[in-house]
Amino acid sequence: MNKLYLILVCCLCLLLAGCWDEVNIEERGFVIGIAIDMAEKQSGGNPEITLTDQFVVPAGLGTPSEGGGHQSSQKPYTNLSLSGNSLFEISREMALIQGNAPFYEHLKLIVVSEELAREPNIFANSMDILLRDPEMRRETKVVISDQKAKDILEIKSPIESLPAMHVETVNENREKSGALIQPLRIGNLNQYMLEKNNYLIPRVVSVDGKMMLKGAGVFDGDTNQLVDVIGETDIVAINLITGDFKGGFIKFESNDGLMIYEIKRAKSNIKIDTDEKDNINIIIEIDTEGNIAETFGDRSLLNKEYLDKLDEEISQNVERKTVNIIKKAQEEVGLDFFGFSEIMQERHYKEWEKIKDNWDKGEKIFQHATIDVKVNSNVRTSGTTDQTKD
Amino acid sequence: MLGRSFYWDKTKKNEEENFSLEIGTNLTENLKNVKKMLEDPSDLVIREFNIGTANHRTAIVYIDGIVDSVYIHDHIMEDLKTASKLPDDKQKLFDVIRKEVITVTGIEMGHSLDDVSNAILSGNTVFYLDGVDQVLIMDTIGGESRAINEPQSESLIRGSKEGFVENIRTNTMLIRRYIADSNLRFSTYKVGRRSKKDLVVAYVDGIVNPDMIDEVKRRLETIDIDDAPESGYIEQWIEDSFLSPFPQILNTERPDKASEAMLQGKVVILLDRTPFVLIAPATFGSSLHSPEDYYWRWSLGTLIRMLRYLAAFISVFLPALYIALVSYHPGLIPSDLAFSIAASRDEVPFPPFVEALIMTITMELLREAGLRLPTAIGQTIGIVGGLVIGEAAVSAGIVSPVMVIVVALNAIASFALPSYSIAISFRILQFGLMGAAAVFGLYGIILSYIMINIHIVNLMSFGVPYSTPFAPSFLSDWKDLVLRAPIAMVKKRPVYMQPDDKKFMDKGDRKQ
Repeated sequence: MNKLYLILVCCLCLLLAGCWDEVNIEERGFVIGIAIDMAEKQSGGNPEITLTDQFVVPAGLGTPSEGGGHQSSQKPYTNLSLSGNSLFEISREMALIQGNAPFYEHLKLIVVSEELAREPNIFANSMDILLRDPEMRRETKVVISDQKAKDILEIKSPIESLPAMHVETVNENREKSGALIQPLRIGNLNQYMLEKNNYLIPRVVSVDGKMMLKGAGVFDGDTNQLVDVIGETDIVAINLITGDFKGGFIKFESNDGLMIYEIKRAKSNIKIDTDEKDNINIIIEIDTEGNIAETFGDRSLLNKEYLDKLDEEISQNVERKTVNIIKKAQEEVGLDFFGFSEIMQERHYKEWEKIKDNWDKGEKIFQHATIDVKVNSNVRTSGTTDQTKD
Repeated sequence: MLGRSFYWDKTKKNEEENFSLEIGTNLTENLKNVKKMLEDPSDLVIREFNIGTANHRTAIVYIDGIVDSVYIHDHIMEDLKTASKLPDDKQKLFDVIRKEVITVTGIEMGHSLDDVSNAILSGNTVFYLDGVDQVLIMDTIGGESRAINEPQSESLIRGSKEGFVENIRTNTMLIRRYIADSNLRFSTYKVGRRSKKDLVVAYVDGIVNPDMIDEVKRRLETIDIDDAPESGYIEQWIEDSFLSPFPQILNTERPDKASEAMLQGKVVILLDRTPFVLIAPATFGSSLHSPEDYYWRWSLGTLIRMLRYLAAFISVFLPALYIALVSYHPGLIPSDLAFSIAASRDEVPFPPFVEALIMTITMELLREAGLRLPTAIGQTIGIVGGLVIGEAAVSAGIVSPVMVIVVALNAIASFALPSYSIAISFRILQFGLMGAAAVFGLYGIILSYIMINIHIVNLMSFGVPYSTPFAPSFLSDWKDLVLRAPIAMVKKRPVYMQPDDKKFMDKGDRKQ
């Protein structure tokens, strides 16, 4: 009998210990996106930050029982902005305003305004809680915006019901457009910040009330500050150099009229010669394969000599583009955002240890490095027809 | 008052039960004794007649309904009446009748009234001859019994349509037809102090491990109850752990399943008056096997097996996982699904645990109600329950639509399991897991999972670990576990059964 009581007491203790963090799914305030801006009013001391949380209103998404894509009259999201010094403090304050306390495990997007990113330290500081908090996921994507970040979260998307989800959708179009760089996961950002590598963050702009991914911001790995912004044409070149090319096209003018070369496959091979410390030699070999997607000319593409000529023209075009951006990096920006430093660290560790402090800081070895680009383009097919007009 | 009346009854009976247990030489006295012992029931038939030139008085006694009356007429009455040249001496006459006249195949001598009553109560016919203190007991067991039908609880698409019936003779016959081996053994026992039912332990000598047979027989000999109406009584008496939710002895209605188990070195226990025979020992793996796995080609068999393991998982864990994810870990649900679950749960007044409990209990009720009713109405109950109650409960906002899917899937998965007893034990576990999930979330599910595993590896069935061949692991048995390897590749009988004859076949190569 005593044994029975003992077991009973143990079981009851289990019940006492349980349920401590039970919050039913409908009571969670799902935050799908957040925006970080500088506050309008600054009051000396620590800088004031405005945090905007985009809460999902599940009822507004339309319940399944209402028949799939039924759009409810309710807005599917609500944005809440508060200002303060600490993001954690602001987030807890939101729980006092919003019925359902914010829950960040489904956070998809972090938008940071360029204004904030240009300030020293604030960007890195505001990323701290987003990496430290156990509710945060390392898959969350980070973008910067040319205007107030909170406005980006207000832009209605024609397809997605949630503005924050829209960026995810657009990011998936990398196979169709080479003008998108690889989306930056906050996990990778953490790595870059720790290793002091320079990095690119995709940039969101608003054009005529529509959101658009356009270009990228260049961040200095040392200070984690936004240094420069590069445009979408240069992004194609960057993708080709780093070899992280998922798809895109080259538009060029042949003597037969406008032509579009769609790149199906691109490979890059970077060799770095570190023998001379003062004259580092970097050779970039780019191989592309693709097809003629569109042509305004009327010449047959089945002529081998003509195709060879086209290959040549495309190669030159690509080379011109890549040399342009390298020149810009070396002369205007002065930062290596192609990841050459990582390659050296991996393959030429001893030499890298010697020069790492003077790569793009100090003696600025990067700026004086010789960078050669060799492009070998290949037109594989002419598409499903040879000529469309005669 | 009541007590006193019982007491009075007893004394009265004792006074009347004043009869001899011996068989005397006086026929009238003997017949009176039989009548007194059984209190002259209405189905007791005593047919007196004279035979031979000396007109010796004789009688046959049997109980109507449990004998084959045509057989009695043809092989006893007819023979006795047409017999000629019978000797006059009574003892000689008795011997002649036993040896020459009666053509019934099963014939024995009886010496006491107990022999007589036992014999006639189990369908034999007893022959009395006046002046002889012995009787003849003739096997005339017969009477109405159900014809061999398709097994109701285990119907298959492909495979024999024969199922066991209530009559144990028919059942042993069915097994004999599957295994025409001279080493097939039927050991017969009588079970039940009062019912005295036949119980047969069937096995193939030379395959089965002798220790296994000894253990089964030892346990069967301990049975001491009034009556065992169904093999479930036997199962519960001889099983290893009565506290475990898992069935440690399988039951089946299919002779092919039973005989296949015997060829694996297992023991089959048949009881009279039930079509369900027992297969011992059971392991977790074999509970999820169906004979049909072997009848289709191996690729399909393997696929079905894997599907069944998935079904086992769903039937135990799905509602618990739903509760844990919705109450504790919404971060683990894909975003879009999480939002849609949140939206559908918006109006629901109960926490997920209560919601799940309502739905699973409703499901159990429907199952139970469907079982009791005739097939046609049972289907209606299914439709009414599944569609109407489910739909109404959702629109009334008592449960969320996702919950209905979860519970329906769970129920379907548990009915996809080939053995009803294992399906039920999973449904019992499912409630425990739901509780654990409601209290501790995924952590609770993992804890319960570990506890279940500890229990399974501790469990034994007739000395065979329940978890084998998973653990203790026998690699060659894995060919016929989750996977079902091509027939010719499974050359060995299950190693975990430690059979005397280790192999099914000598050469697996089909070309030879």
